[in-house]
Amino acid sequence: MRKMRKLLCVLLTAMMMLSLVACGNSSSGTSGNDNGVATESDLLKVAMAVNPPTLDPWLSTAAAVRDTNRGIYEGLFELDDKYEPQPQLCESYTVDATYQEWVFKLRQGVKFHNGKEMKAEDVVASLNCWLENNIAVPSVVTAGEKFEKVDDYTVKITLTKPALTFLNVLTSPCQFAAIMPAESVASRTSTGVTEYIGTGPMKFEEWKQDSYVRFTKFADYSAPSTTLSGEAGDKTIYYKEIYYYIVTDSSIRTAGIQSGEYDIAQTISYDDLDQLKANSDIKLTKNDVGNYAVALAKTEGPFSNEKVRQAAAYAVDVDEIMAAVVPNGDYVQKYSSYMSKNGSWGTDSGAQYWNQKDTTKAKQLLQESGYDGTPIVMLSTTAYPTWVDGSLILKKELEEVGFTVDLQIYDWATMLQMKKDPSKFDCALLWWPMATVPTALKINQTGQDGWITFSEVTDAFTQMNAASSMDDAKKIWADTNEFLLKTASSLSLSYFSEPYAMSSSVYNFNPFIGMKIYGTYTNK
Amino acid sequence: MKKYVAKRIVTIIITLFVLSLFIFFLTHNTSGDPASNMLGSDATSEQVQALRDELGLNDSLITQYFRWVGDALHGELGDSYFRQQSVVASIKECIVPTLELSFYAEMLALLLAIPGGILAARYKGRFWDWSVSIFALIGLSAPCFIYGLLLILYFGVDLKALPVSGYKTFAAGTWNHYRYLILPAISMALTQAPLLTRITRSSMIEVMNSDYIKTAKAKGLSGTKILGKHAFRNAFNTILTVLGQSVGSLVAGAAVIETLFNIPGMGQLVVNAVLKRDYPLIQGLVLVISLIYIIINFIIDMLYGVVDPRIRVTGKS
Repeated sequence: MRKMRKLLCVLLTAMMMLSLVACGNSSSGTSGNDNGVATESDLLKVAMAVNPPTLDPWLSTAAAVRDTNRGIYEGLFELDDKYEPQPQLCESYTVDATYQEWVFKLRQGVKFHNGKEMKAEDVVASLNCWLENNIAVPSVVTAGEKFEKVDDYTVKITLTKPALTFLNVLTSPCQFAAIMPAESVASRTSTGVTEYIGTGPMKFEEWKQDSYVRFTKFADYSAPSTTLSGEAGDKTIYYKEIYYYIVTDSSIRTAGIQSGEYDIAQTISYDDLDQLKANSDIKLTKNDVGNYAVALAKTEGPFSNEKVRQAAAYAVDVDEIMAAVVPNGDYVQKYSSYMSKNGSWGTDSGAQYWNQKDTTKAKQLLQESGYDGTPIVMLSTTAYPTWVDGSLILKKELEEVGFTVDLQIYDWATMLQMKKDPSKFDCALLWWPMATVPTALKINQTGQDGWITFSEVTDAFTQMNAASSMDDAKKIWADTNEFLLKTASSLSLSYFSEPYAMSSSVYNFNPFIGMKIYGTYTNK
Repeated sequence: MKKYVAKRIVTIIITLFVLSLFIFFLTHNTSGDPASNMLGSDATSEQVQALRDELGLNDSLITQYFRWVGDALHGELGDSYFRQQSVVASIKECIVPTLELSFYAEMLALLLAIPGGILAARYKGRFWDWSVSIFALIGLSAPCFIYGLLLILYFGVDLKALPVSGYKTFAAGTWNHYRYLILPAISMALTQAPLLTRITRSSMIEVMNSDYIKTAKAKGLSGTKILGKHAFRNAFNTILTVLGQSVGSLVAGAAVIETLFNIPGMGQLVVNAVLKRDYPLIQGLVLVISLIYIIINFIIDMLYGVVDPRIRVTGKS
């Protein structure tokens, strides 16, 4: 019995010590005191939402790859906050009147993380590898066309077709045209580069798989003279060391930012917004993600019939679905344009075909189409619970007008595989990442979600690239946007953004098409 | 004894062979594709096929199986598709946090369960018995991640006392290392302790009713001596069996807690490997986890002999 008492005493003492530790640390998480001057801090801890499958800039189109590696690399051009390409590693460029011969003059004295100076052979090797991998490239470059070295600081490419939108494609955020040493390109394998060396402000140090990626500030970073706007300009980092922790559970990201474990947390759940807003130690900001849409498989099955697609378009209530997928209206931008209105390609052309919520018309179109009740296979995934929520609403709306819907929910890997085979699904509610040029929109690429093969669209893209000015190209795109909505090539829903959270002592944190910490600083 | 050990080793080899067949064909017949996963949702079918070719995924399943088994017999489990390292290196890297976490959780569970179970048996039907039974019932009533989340909210978010996620090695400082493991270890221990408590209690009650305990009491031995020297030692055989299963399930079942607390251990590795369809890693991990489970049970069987002299003398187990 005496031993029992001793054991109880030990347990009670341990509990008391734990409580004391708890009380001792409870004062952390102080509010910041900004004087507007960026000062350098030792450490920044960021909670990232998605585990990147690779850090190779060209291998994968996953947004998580872009978010993680964009600080390592820079491109010849980068997007400003209006989604317009601006020179970054390029000093100047010339193009002929037909937009076929592009000559780029490189900035001199730019160093890679390994100390080597960036020269034309590095740019040529990097961009030629990018040409082979980027999925939007075929819209402007014919197979076999390559970048060439003119001299140590000049490269060029000669295209057989006019390509007015070449720079827009060159600045596509996913699979971006990163510049790395020619040796890194040469040693690249089928699973990506084996060393992560770029010219960016964040020097890669360590990738502890599934756990974190560690960077340090690149002391020899050579910034362009322009101020930071979007991804373009001076990308100076104000931290000596940066950790990107992989924290896939949103409740842990929220708990981590509340406890002070992380300085910045990516993709906060909309459900947690109210409690974070009430916390004076935390600030919130928005990141524009892309547009929600319902991809329709059009090469076979019921949606190969235009009238069936139009019936679905008339049946859809965008407000109801968006309320399910993005429960906070502050994070939704409702419009019909396939291109974001944050950039200059956004258009209202064809808005009359969007969000009509006309079930009578939908039923009439479905009857005219001869739809025989074949079940529509709708795919969704547990990886994105809001997709499932939206799919349930979509299923209900389609069934109300006479569709038979078979909703199949899988994990991400299975959905990914099934989505590549049009015989295995008819539609899927999902979101497409922000595109900076219409030719990079997934909906317009053969073999992508929906398998569009309309010659009207292909011809329009050829005309856009041969247009005499960007304004003329945008007019052609406006007509194409209307065509896509009229023929219900997919059911465009709305653009949306997601909340990012930061400690109140973090300043100048402005995500731009994903995570971005250039110019961000901590002032306690 | 030697014959028994040899027999057990042969059984282990046969088990592993059957297991290898099962793991391989189940993994490869699951929907989803590592190449699609690696290349992202926009990759064309041609790009996916090209990568599948390079990874050897378009070879027949039989060819792939014998390639894998051949490598495994040489101690090689192939290379992870995503981690840019071998499966063996990945496991080596991740096994330490899992073993550590399981060890601390099991120690904590034992610290709660053994005194709790003895106390409940000693005061059967009285206040301490009821208190321990209620504690055990609460522990059994919810999965470990619920305790994990509650602990995170209280100690991490409200008190800001302990980190809510992550893992630090000893290189980051001893206290820093332990503070990252406190909440996950408690979460796991809270679900392990109730079972061990109940087993301890019931074994102790059974032993306490046996004749030799009555004799000991009649001889006038003190209650503590009877409990500690005579009753507990004999009840420990049953506890040891459950303990073995408990340790095995902790190692294999750390996935939820490791994922919740973002600990780069075997559990999280398994979850990520399955989600990405990293076939070599899934196969290697299941094989290694099974092996750990088998070895733990083997050790427990051997320990019976140490704990119970009757087994030692007869050579039976």
